Amino acid sequence: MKWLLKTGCVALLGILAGCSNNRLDAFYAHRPKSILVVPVVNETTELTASPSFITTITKPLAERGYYIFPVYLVDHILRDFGLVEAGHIHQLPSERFFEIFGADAVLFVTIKDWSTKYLVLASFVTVEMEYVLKDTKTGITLWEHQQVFERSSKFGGPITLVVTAAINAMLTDYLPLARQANIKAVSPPDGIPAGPYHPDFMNDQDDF
Amino acid sequence: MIPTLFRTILVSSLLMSGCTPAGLYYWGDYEESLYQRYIENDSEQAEDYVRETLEDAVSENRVPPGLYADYGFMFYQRGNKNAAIEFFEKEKTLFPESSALMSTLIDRVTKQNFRKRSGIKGELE
Repeated sequence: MKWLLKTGCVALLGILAGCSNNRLDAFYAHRPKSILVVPVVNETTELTASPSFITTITKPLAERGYYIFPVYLVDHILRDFGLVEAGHIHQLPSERFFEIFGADAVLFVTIKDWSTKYLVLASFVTVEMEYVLKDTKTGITLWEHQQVFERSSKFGGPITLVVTAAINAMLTDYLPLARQANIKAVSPPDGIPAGPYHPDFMNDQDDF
Repeated sequence: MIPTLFRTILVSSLLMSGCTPAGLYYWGDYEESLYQRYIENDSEQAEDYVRETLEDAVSENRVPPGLYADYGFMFYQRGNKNAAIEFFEKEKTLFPESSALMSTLIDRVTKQNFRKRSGIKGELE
């Protein structure tokens, strides 16, 4: 009986330890220093979603302690290779991005939602992205995450309703939401571990 | 009296440190410069933003990754080889992770031959 209990405990501990960091095992095994963000796939009908989003992704990733290749220059280099279509770029073998850029990892972002919904007395602005980080030597996925960020605003009252809705539609600013979504996506507990330029580098396993 | 004073100092110092969350880098108008390039197609305004951001970042010694390279590429697009090389070198020195790409670009600019578009491809083939 005692033996059974002991074995059970050991097995349970093993399972617990095994579970704790499965999600980041591949990440810890490869520990990229540099990340290449390639053009973003836009699954929404909002045409400005991709060019808007790409302006917001460098800062949060770099602040996590990684070298981030300058996105605008990266776009131009890819264009020189005839790689213009984001959907096509996402299909390329990840090794290609090591050959061209010398990057350790490549981040593929897909925009799932980028919309404003109007209800009677409120509006909801939503952005949603899927992030997939792949190792450029092996092509394996190091981290993946889906992040939604939503903001609701209440309109003043029935009289201002029409006017406010019209103004909001023109000026809806998705950038602050995209920034918040990115920060949340890359930070603990669901994000990526601190990189080499971050003070927590190699010291934040418990945050995930 | 003393604990109250102490508490006030503690709270205010916490508030002050809360006001300036010190990031790793100085970003200035970098995101705005990207917006000018991607959305507004205003490369002059973008260049002003990048230059000003870079100047401030250098003076604070907190230059973010990619900024030197970005600025170098702006010179490259205008055909100013020497300035382009100078800034690609700076990127390489500050961030060795960029070394392979910067060396390729420097090589390419040195042997230039301005091809149509940015002309980077030839070197990488």
